[in-house]
Amino acid sequence: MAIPDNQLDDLITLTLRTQTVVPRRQKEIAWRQLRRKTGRQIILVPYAVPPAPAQPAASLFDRIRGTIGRMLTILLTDERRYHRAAESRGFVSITSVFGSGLMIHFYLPSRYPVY
Amino acid sequence: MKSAITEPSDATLIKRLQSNDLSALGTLFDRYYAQIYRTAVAITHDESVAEDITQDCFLRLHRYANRIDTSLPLAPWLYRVTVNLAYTWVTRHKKRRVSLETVVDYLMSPARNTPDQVVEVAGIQEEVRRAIAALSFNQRVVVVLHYLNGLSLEDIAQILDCPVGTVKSRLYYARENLRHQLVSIHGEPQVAHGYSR
Repeated sequence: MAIPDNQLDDLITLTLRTQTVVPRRQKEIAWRQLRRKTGRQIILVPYAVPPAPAQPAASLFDRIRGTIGRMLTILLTDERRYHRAAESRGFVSITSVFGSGLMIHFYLPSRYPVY
Repeated sequence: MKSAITEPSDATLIKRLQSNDLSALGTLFDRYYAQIYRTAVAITHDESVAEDITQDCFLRLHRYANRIDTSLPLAPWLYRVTVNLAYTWVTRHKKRRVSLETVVDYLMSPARNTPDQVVEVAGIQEEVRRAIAALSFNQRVVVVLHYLNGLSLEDIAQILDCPVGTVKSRLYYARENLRHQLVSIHGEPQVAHGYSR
């Protein structure tokens, strides 16, 4: 038969809380020892927080790279710009004709496919 | 009439201790000595070791006074140091621990075989004590912090620097182990004096 939860909890609590008696004399002796030992040790200094490293001035190259990066980000993520570009795009077809080089055809997009 | 003198807070005392005011350490010692000593005894089951651990705990409080975050309560910091010191002691005295376990096994034998001084101690509580002593270190620490010091699972998790789920699981298995041991000793539940079934 198992011991009910609440009885077990009460038993453990009661046992642990009545297990140790701390005599006044013991505490006094402990305090005297502690005082003696603290006289032999030093209090450590607080942790030194390292200063934040100074930010170097951005070079011209870094600024240009940053600007290009921002433009690319806008182009790749900005939906409105994408749709505007998609609406006005022209189709380009490049064909290779034997003996006469490459031919480039431009034509506007059609809503319906042409067969 | 309301007393005009109020007890200084732990944070105030630590700030005073930071300027090496030993009377502040004395007040903190008065406030926490018994709690820390009882915790150390409950974990190590050795009063002289518990005295050393308590002493060391307050020495560390003095030494690290400048590095204690005064915006946080002090008790969990003290418990954490106590548990760490107890853990160090247990791992350094593994050989001694084995012999201690042998003693525990001996003490767990039927009452007619135990020394007179053990028989004198209240029976059921003595058995609970032995059962707690037989728990693993991790389970024992959780049981002591929860039942002796009344700490919540969240507080214990912070002290032990582990997830709340781990604390919950250790407490669950510790209780199951204790329940199993107490039942196997007696065959049926014993009820402490003053506790009805």
